Amino acid sequence: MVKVTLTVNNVKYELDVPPLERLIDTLRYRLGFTSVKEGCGRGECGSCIVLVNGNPVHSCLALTSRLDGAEITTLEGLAPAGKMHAIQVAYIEARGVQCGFCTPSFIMVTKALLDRVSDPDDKTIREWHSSVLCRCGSYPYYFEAVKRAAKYLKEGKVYFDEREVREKYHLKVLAR
Amino acid sequence: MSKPDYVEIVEEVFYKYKDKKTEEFKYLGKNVVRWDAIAKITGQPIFTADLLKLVKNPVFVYSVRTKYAHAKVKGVDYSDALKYPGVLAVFTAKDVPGINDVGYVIPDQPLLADRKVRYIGDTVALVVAESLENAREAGELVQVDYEPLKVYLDPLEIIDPETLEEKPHELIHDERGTDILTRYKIRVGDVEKAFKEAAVVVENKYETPFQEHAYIEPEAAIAIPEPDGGVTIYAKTQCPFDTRKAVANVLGLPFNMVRVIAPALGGGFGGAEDVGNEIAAKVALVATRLKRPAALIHTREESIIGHTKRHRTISWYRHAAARDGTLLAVEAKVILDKGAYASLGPFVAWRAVVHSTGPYKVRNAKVDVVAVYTNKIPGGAFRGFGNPQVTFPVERQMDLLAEELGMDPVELRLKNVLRNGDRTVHGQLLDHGVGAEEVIKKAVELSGWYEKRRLYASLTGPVRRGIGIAIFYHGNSIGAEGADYSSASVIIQRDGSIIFRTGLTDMGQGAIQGLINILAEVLGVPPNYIKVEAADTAATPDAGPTVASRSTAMGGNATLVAAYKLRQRLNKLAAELLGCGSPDDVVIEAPKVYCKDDPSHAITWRELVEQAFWKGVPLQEFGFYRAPPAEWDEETGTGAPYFTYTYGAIVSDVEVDLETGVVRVKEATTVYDIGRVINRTGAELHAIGGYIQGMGYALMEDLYYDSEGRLMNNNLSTYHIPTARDVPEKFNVYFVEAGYYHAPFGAKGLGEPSIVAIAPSIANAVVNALRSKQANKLVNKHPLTPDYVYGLIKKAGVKP
Amino acid sequence: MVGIELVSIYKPKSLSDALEFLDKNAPDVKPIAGGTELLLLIRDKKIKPPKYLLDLYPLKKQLSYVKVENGIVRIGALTTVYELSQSILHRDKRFAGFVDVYDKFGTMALRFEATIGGNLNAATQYSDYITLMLVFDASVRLESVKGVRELKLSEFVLDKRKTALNPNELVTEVVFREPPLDSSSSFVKFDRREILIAGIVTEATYLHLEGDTIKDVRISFDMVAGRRIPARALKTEEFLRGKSFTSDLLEEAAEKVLPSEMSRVTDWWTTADYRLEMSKVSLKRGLKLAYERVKGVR
Ligand SMILES: Cc1cc2nc3c(=O)[nH]c(=O)nc-3n(C[C@H](O)[C@H](O)[C@H](O)COP(=O)(O)OP(=O)(O)OC[C@H]3O[C@@H](n4cnc5c(N)ncnc54)[C@H](O)[C@@H]3O)c2cc1C
Ligand code: FES
Ligand code: FES
Repeated sequence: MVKVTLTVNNVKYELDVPPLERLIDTLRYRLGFTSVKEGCGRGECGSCIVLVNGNPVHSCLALTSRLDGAEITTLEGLAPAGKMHAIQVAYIEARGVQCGFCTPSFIMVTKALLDRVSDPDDKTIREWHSSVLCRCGSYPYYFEAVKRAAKYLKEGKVYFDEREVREKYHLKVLAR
Repeated sequence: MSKPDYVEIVEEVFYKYKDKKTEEFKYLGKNVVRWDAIAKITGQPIFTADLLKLVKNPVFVYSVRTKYAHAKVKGVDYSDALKYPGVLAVFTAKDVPGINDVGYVIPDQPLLADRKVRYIGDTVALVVAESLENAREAGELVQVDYEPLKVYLDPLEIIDPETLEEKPHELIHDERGTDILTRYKIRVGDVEKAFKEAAVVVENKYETPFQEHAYIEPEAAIAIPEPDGGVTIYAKTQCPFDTRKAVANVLGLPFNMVRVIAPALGGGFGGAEDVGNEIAAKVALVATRLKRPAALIHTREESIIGHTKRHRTISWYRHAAARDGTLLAVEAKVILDKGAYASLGPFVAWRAVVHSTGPYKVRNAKVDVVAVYTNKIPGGAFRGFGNPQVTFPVERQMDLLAEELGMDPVELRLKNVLRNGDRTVHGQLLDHGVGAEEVIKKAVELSGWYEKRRLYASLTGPVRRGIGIAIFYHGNSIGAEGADYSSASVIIQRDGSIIFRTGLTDMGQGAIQGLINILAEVLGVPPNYIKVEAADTAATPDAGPTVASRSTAMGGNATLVAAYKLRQRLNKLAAELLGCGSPDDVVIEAPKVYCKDDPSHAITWRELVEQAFWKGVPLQEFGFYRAPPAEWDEETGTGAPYFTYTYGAIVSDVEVDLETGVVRVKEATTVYDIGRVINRTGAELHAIGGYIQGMGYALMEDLYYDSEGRLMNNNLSTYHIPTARDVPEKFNVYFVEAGYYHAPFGAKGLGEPSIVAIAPSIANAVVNALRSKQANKLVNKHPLTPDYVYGLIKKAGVKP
Repeated sequence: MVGIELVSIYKPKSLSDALEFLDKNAPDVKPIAGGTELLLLIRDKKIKPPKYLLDLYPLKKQLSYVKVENGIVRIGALTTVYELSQSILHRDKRFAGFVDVYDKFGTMALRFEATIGGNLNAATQYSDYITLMLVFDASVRLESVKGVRELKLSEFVLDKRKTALNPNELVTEVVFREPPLDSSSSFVKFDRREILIAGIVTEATYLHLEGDTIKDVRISFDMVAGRRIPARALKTEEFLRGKSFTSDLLEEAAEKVLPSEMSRVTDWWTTADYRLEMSKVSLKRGLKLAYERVKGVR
């Protein structure tokens, strides 16, 4: 067993893990971050991508035992409690979500991209989005989501009130 | 006999709004954010495997699969496996308490192999352990004594393509006495005479490949034993009611002891039908025996060998036409490579025969469709369900004919396409709701067909461009495959919010948003009042399977009926409360409710609901709808196989690299007649997503077996599907709305149709780019891989 | 993952600590860099899980760099593919082949994990940086407690998944001579789809021109003859060297010379014939691209 300290979504965890435990299993089954999906376990589908120290990483090909001291962000930690990140709002508004199995990774890849390039062109977006396979074929909508997110971030809109977004796009509490 | 009330309601609504433009509705046809988008973009635990985090102390189930594609099983020794750390039990066929079969249409498929194995994928034993790793490791210790039999990978080893008679061979299904699963035919008119009189005849052999669904979520199932001896199952399944039936059979339990809940599916495309039953039965068997929750999660490799595929086909087509382009006759033989088990094969073969002559006026036809077992992964349901396999040859034939006749492919299609008042090849009268001509014309206009045909013909150099069209029709719902019914439940809560349930599942396609839009439109409430509950066999009446593009039309009708009845009651009450002249004068624009002529005097939706509660007006309703029975004559292939058809025209604009054979799609135009756009976002996503999946089918996807029947490409780096970088630069999407009167506001399905004609449109575009008569004939199969295209460029002598 | 209990992981404090650990425990140790190759080999049971994994991440600071010093290009073994893209190699036309490899490498996310050292040590015909660096005539620097040695890449890669690396050695660096100003490079890779591909064939070119005369040229493929590892097409190079760059020359090199040294295999993906034809096309395209880059028209 290996002792590691991980910071996941700004919370510190001290863990004792077998040397070959994959980061995806730590995140999903040990810590309960189910936004991280396993589609292949081989670095192909990209549905397990999380940010490790700001870089997009396939959590199915990463060993937790090697990540002592790392800062990990999953979709659950993209925004503080009660908020939604502009990228998430952009993905809602771009209307591309179908089965949604791939979406968490596309969002994380978008975060990594926009952290580096604030105004990516079409080619760059396609290049980064090649990290994740979407069998429902939502790609063009996800390209659009990146642009929308870039615009929000440029306008300084990073976080949105979660309740407002929910009421606008999902379930409403009805006034008396 | 008078019509059932639900038919009257659907017709009444259709005729009332027939001429109302879709833009004028409040919610129908609008871009609405789907009900589950927020759960999905926040990464909530909504998929089956995610739910494992809510389950305490589960056991894990691993399927030990055969290493032989065709063999007798003489014995299974799992004593070593039982000794492996953490292993709790090993189950084989003899442990099945009920019927050891999960065959979908016919009982030909054991859950756990007993006498025989028939493809590399058959499960011989289930290992149960405290962890998935241990179960897997122990699985390697299970010893099976096999007597290998001859492996059949090519259906032509089993059937004579000339006579379509079965050849003598070592039977795969000895218990059935034949390896021909089904035969279907069409016999109309006088084909021989037509061919004799024809000015032009074209014929060719065609092949279409297997296709893997490659949904990104691999299969998973969790079973929880219930105190009463029953079991609750969460599973990746498209059809919870079918899954329940399969599990009940395997366990020997009544249906009401088996509860199946379908969480969100990370893609289905038809693939999550049989396999859902199989994995559910496996975990249910274990959970009920060990009295502990049992979970099964497939790896990608297990998913690929463990679930059905789109059937491969080999076909021979002959078309006869008059000099002016009028189609005179079609003669065809289609062989479906069935793989090891029937699965939905009988229905797939039937859909293939029905659509085998395309959306054209054909008066003379002789068609045979035969499904033949082989020792490969079974063919089953996949978006399109037999139709893509016949649309490819038909639409290639049309381009061969066009060339022979010296006609533009569009003109030839316009000359022969079905229109209102025509009869299909089966003799079915299409008296209304046929938008085929319009879809062609719109696709031609949006794609810039004529200019591009001219422009591309003049290009030189190693990289050519080409543009091609393909059209199709697609019968909605299940037609003569079985009883076609559906149901939905709507319960208005006391605060005015609404709970909606249907037994139809969401596999990602989003059809349920269409039902929400219908409910919202009819009741007059915004969609964000409506909560959707997961499909649950214990909570809704059987809504039939979620297949065959039936959700919007069939589920929509049931929803419409429920919503209509509720609205009638609420109108009556509101009229009393507000003093409107007639209930029909009530306007609900939640939160406001008022009489048409006095918007200033209003009550709120919530008040109306509260009043209904106190006055005893029921706030809940079940909607039920049954489609008119389809007609089908087995001997002639005539009747009315489906109640209505979706039509579509696809134009693909491709680039062909003459030096490498690499084909890339640059621009795609998809135009569909879906009767009425109920859920615009969902429809557009299908027009585009379906295209991308169809492009994979056309250009890159196929399964490869070694000579022993082992699949070579069982992961996502060797089974190519389109990536973000393969997506065409431009899409032109348009919907024609030739409504159908037995559908909600006229709506027809799009789930399956969205893939049907993609491959032939791309193939036709490639031929156009090659500008060679010989190449026209040589492009007779797909995927159009670089080596295949390169080979035909050489054969046809096309020079840069 | 398989064999979880059996493996230990060692995190070295320094390079010398790593080398000592290796020396003590070889051959029961496998170094792990990005892990994108190694972990799949373990997962697919192509190799037995080793007793120890030697975690190379702690050496990242020390072994991740791209430097051009005194006419020598040095790439630290732990440099990731993404880091390469941020270096001089992606900004100077002479190294344009690096940009081509990058463009077709894995997927974007994979480039943050995969390392150059891992790529060379994976030693398969799909190790694109081997194919590329063969044309830069690169050498690998191997270090052990006993000292340092340098080996030509072509001598380092012996066969599929087989290298001249001793079990107690680590690859610490790849080096090659800085190419002259009138030179450039290219890499050609294509398949059924754009990305996440093995490539039907892959080809790399280095071209040094003097006017239109081919002063020097090096060409490599994912495989040339028999063995399934990247190799140089030496006869073809020889034929081209010193000649004037014309399309006729390319045609002759591709049609006459290359086939004399190239033998391809048929497998379930495609045929030897097609691969040979595509080797010819790639040769011509690679050369043309490098030529245009030298000339500044690309
Ligand atoms: C989905 C997918 C796509 C891929 N696509 C491509 C592609 O397009 N092109 C391509 O070339 N490759 C590709 N690969 C293969 C792989 O990613 C690369 O070879 C990568 O560069 C390996 O680097 P790594 O750091 O991950 O190696 P690791 O897996 O860490 O190591 C690979 C091998 O090298 C040894 N090793 C690593 N570093 C050293 C060292 N410094 N000294 C001695 N031994 C060492 C390890 O022990 C192991 O045997 C792909 C892999 C995947 C999973
Ligand atoms: S699960 Fe990690 S890439 Fe597919
Ligand atoms: S939305 Fe289903 S895989 Fe992308």
